Amino acid sequence: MVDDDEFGSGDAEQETRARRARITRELVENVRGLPPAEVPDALCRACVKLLPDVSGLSVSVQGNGADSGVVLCASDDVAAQLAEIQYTLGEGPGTEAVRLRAPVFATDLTRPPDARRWPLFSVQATKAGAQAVFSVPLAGAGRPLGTLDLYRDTVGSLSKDHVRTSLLVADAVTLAVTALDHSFTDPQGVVTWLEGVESDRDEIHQATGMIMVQLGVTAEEAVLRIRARAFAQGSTSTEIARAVIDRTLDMRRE
Amino acid sequence: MNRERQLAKAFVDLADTYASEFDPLHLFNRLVRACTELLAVDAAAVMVADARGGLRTMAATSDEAAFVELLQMQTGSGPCMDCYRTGVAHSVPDITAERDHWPELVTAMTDAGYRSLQTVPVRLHDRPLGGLTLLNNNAGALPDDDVHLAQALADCAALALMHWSTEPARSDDVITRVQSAISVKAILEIAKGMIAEYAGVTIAQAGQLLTDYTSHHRVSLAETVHALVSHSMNPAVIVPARKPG
Repeated sequence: MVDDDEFGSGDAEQETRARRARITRELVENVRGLPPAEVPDALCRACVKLLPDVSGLSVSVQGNGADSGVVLCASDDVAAQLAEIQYTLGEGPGTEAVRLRAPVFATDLTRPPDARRWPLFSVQATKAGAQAVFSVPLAGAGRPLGTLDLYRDTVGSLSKDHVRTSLLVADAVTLAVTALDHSFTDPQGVVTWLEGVESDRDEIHQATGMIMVQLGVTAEEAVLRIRARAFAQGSTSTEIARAVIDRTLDMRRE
Repeated sequence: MNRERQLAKAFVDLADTYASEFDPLHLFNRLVRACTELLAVDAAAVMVADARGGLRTMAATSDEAAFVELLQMQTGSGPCMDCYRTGVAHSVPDITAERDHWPELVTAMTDAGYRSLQTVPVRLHDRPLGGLTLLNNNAGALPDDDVHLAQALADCAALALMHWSTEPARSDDVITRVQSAISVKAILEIAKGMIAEYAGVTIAQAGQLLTDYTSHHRVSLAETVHALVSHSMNPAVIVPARKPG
């Protein structure tokens, strides 16, 4: 029933981990050793290579307000325009993806229901040259850090497999963006950081909440503390999270 | 309440999506609770498939560590994943007979006190979304009528998940709904951690404090956990004042 052959009959988590590692490695290879100013564009080119099914893409980072953001990079003019249009109008799949913390797909902007759902965006987006837009949130802890926005110049859905890849690419971009923020001096450090990060696990979320209260920090900051700790002592984020939950590790005594 | 009334209430509760904000936590909690109230089962959990791959637990009737661990080890493979992949309900009347098949699961289940298991697919028409796991302390298969009822409850919940908005959901919106539910579940786990730390209790107890608060005040669990995590609500609001001494 599941039209996803690479799901096969093996362990779905292991297959996801393998694919995630492959995508992360590919992104890292493309940004390794570059001066910080060149990283965003290199990241963008790497994403395009990983997502050959789309016409173009952009990465935006959220500002403090819900409708404000900065376009970090765009693979072409159409992608750049699409991002600007959404921020100007305050409507579109990207805005929706941030609100819902989930991918949002507008598979045919030329007619309803997409055209009814985003009346202004659909008109301007088709004028700019996009007929389908897929927006994937960069899932930060607590709130999305931004979006990975894909577009196509023809109408139609993304295949299940491409949806999966785009989510994993967005996860890798999220980590890369967080690493940029914390400007590592050692490029190899970024690689180790990116590869060592684990995905969505209940224990990590729970420990995040505990650290938020212990240190009076935001969810993003708490997650970074867990990762930094794991990175520093060569363990996994899940191991650190379990120690926090068991109360054998107290971040206040750091 | 007699059985007919209980059944009617369970289906109406699941179909009740007349709320302004989407609250998948409420929906999935209702589903697992209806299973333990109406069926001959001791515990129930519902998992949905993440578009990245793997299953995520959305709700479970018990927050106890052993039970949570039991679910955690099935996110990649196991009876629930098989049920999701095949779209077919499956009965395991005696887990100890499956030692060759799922050795770790057999140990975890018997350690947690469960002997038999039934899976039921959660699907939207023919499209699989995830699976229900029903557990019993004793060996034996669940009666056919109970399996059918569990399927009807799961189908009803899947439909409600899709219809929870004024705009009708299209095929491409299924992923949006499911992933949005997974995100809300992540926020719930962060909020549990905040309450656990604030009140000095376990994660399971923190989960109970949160559901006590939302059911007592008749507010949405999804909205409450969002408010906590975004720091627009103080954890003190959730935690009952401590008795002196």
